[in-house]
Amino acid sequence: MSGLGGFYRSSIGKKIVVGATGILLVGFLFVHMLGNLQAFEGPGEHGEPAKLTQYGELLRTEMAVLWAMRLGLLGLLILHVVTTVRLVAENRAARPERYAMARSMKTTFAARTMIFGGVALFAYVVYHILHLTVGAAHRDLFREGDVYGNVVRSFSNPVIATVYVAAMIPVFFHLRHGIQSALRTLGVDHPEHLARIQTAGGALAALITLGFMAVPLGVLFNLIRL
Amino acid sequence: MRLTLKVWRQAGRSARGGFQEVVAEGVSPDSSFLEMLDGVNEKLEAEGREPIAFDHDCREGICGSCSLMINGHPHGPDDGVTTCQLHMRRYRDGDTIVIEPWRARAFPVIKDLIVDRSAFDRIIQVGGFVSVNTGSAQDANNLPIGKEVADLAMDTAACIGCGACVAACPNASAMLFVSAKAAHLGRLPQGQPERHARTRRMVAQMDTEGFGGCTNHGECEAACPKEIKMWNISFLNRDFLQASLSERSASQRAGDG
Ligand code: HEM
Ligand code: FES
Repeated sequence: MSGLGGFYRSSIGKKIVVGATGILLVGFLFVHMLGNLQAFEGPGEHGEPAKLTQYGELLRTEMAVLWAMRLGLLGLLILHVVTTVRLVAENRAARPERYAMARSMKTTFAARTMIFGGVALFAYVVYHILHLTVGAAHRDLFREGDVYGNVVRSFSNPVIATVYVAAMIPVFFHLRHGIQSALRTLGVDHPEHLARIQTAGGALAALITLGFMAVPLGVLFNLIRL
Repeated sequence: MRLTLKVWRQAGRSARGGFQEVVAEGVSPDSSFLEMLDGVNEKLEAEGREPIAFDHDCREGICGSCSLMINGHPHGPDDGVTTCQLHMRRYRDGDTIVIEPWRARAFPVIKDLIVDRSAFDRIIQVGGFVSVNTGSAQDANNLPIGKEVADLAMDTAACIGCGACVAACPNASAMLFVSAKAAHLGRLPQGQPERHARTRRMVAQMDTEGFGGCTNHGECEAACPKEIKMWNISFLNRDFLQASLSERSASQRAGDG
């Protein structure tokens, strides 16, 4: 066993891949969340497009760059998902016979539901891209290029807004365990640093979750309107 | 005390097992858990029945032979204690106690509550040691070791290889055990020459044996009778990453000239 293949075949190698891709995806989520908050800047004045729409246009300045970022993110996501699925399968196989009585002592709800949170997150990502990027999920609400309008029209529908808010709950749990777990996997072994990282990781998970929830809630409560 | 035990009985490696109810009567609260089982076995033998097979040796918490999943806790409910040091005063008259073997693919049941933990031996054999020259030992003080490092190494050296970490882990991962050895030797100057090879080989053997991987649940740390900490697993992860990055194949090394 040697080289990149050997690294990826080993259990710790796969853990490191999951942790590193996870942290990079968290970085993306954080920036994405900050970008979304521009919806609170409103519909734009003096005939200018809304700030959020301008941001969308900015990202499209060079389509080659946008596609490079999209493919990079897709690559990270695929690597993360494919590797976790293999890890979960190996971990299940390591205990073929269950205990009649097993009591957990320290593990958390978040840690035990990583795979379910991940699957929910994946389903959400697919819907979200079909909805606001491709425009195929709700054709009647979607107008190409009108980023701000698409957001406000969609979240004025309480069902869509609720789906978006609810989808952030599994995201919170996935990241609450994930961020600190990834840093341990990547080798942070100092007990005091770890305690600080666990607190900071939980706070970052909450911040990302609340930041994403703010926009659909903002539309629903009329703080953001056309 | 009178207790009802639900004990896993399994005649052999490939036999089908199941739970058997056994009543333990006249149990002294001062006896240890294993002494309680001794009493039950005497009764079973007197009745011409097969005694319950369980592992034990030192009965003072230092050898790592005893095991047992007791009401869902490895080594019973107390922190930092092996089954042999668990006392029956922890239980109340009339209690029901479920006793199971460690369960992991890498720890197959041999009989009843005894599992085959030789996977741990094989992990140690591939790298859990330091090579030393025989002959006159050098003076210990020739090799100064800082107190902090010595203490950390000592904490990990406390591992008795009982396998409670594997038993407790939802993934049946052996990473607390492997990391204890990697961090013990990897922190000391004597362990440096073989450090990366040791980590790589022990991890490869751990995977070959069919243990799962750590997902940072923390159950191992809670179950460990020697209270070995999970930050050693982070040490192992980092060491493995470094070892993989610096790894050269034999042919490359020959090519270096
Ligand atoms: C889309 C489908 C996804 C699935 C199925 C999934 C699944 C998983 C699973 C099962 C784990 C547990 C690994 C472990 O406990 O060590 C995990 C860890 C993690 N995930 Fe995801 N995930 C997904 C998406 C994401 C996304 C979009 C992000 C980023 C925002 C992310 C961030 C993380 C992080 C940081 C970890 C911690 C890695 C570690 O514990 O070492 N995941 N993921
Ligand atoms: S019998 Fe030796 S540790 Fe329990």
